[in-house]
Amino acid sequence: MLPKNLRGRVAFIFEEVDFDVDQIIGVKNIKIQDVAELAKVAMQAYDPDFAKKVKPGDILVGNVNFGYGHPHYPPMRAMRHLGIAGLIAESFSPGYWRGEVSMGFPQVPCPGILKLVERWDEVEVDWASETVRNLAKGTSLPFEPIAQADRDMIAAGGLVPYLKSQPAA
Amino acid sequence: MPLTLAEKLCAKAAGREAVAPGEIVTARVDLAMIHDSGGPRRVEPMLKELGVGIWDPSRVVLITDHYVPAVDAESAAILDLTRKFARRQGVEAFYDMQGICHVVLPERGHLAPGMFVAGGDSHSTTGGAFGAFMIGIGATEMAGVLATGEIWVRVPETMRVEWTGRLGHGLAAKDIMLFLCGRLGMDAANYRAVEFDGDAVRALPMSERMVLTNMAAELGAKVGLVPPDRTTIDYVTAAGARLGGRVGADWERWRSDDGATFAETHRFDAGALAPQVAAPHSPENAADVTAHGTVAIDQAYIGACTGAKLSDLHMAAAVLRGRKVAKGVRLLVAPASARTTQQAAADGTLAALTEAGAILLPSGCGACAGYGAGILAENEVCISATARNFKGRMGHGTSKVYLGSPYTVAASAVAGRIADPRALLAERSR
Repeated sequence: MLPKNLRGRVAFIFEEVDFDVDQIIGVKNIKIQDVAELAKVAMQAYDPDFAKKVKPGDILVGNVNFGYGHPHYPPMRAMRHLGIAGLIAESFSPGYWRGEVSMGFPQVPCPGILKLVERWDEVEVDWASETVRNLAKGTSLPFEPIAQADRDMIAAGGLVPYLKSQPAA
Repeated sequence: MPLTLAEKLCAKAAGREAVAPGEIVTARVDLAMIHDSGGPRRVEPMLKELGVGIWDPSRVVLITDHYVPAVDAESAAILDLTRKFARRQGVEAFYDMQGICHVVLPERGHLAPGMFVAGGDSHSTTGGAFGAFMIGIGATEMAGVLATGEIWVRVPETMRVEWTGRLGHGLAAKDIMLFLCGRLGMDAANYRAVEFDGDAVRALPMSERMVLTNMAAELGAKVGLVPPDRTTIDYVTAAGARLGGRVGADWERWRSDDGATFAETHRFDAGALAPQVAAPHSPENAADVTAHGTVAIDQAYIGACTGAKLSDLHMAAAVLRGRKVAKGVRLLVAPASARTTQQAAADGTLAALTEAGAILLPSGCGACAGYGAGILAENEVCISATARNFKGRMGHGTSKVYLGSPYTVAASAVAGRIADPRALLAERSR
């Protein structure tokens, strides 16, 4: 099963390597559970008007070893609440990768992505051809193949829906 | 075919003779460990949605360590929910405010060689010091484990890191790991198993081996492993095996076969290592302690799973005994577990620390995770025996955290600036 193709603008590029996603909402806000509250504090250190600029379907871009450190869920829950549909990074930290895939969040490892796109370019993630396209510039790059188990999890919308869809043993 | 230790452990968990790196296998989980932060408050709603309870409550260990003791209404509510969950779900291995999960788990006899363990915390790689395949997973995946008792894993390749020789006086496992972070980089072991071996590793007690596997997470590892030996078995046996943490007579098989394939092998001489300090804001910024020049400090922190076990407190006391913390510097010590505190009180270590001017804090993740006491103000500088020094992790975004061994942290507390512990230790032996 393949997830749905992504198509949206690059809403933000996290240029830091080994980026710790806690930074998106700030370490002190990790215990907030309410997603609307989380969305309010998100990106304050990077772009205070982020919530106003972002549109449903927009995509984030990250550098090498994205998600290193504490792969807490609140930051990306906040991002999804704001309309973010997926994330493309040069590479991922494994704990973060698995955590977000189990949330059903589409992500692709795409070496070279930072050179391929600029902020607000429109991009497309094509699962069948394993390609990221920059629609604004007419360029493209292959992304690294993703394990079938990961693709199934993303297509199912996460681990909980996935388990629910399994016939009872 | 010869297998690595990681491959053998995966094969056992998957009920297979052999597995190869890259293969995806479904593993039966021997034990699941969860804590107050990523545990009940996040997994219970998902279990409810799935309409199931815990697959086997006798295989679950629940520990409160992140929000202990409660400092506000929110953390109190999280702890309350955690305690009620333990009762509702029948989790008997519930350790409430007994210390940090990665330390409590082996201390109370829950780990043994050959086990497959899922831990709901990013430093769960610590358990690999005991020859168990222990991985860190997020709350959603943990909900899946608690519901089914299974998880899929991609069998990792293994990076072998060999330390020959012997660590010099005033050096510790923390120096080894900071050196590796600096030398290899934060994603050098991305999704790999890191297997630590060599004379210098085998000479380390379990508490120090746990620093190696704990900080394997800093290298991006899926799992960190030390092949079990007599030291392991003595520890595990003394801890009293319970809940699957039983030592099988077959423990000697939990090592990489001769001729097993390693993706990479690194060899270093422990005797040539100098104390390491990592500058803000990444463990990767590690260098010899002397390379950092004069860095005045406001706070010295000895705490966390990787920095405040009994052996860590012994290191600090070796430096601090008969000395005083510098004026204008605060030295905070948060022993890693209640048992650590008891032992350190019994053997005189706590007295040595407090007479030097150390302030004792509760056992828990504390300031290391940015939750507990010991938070830094704007532009303050701290040297810490913890594992991570990301921006803002220990307080204000402009605060600076340097990482070092307990020896180095204690020496810096005395000097009022980042200092080489070897000079102070040498003075003592003269």
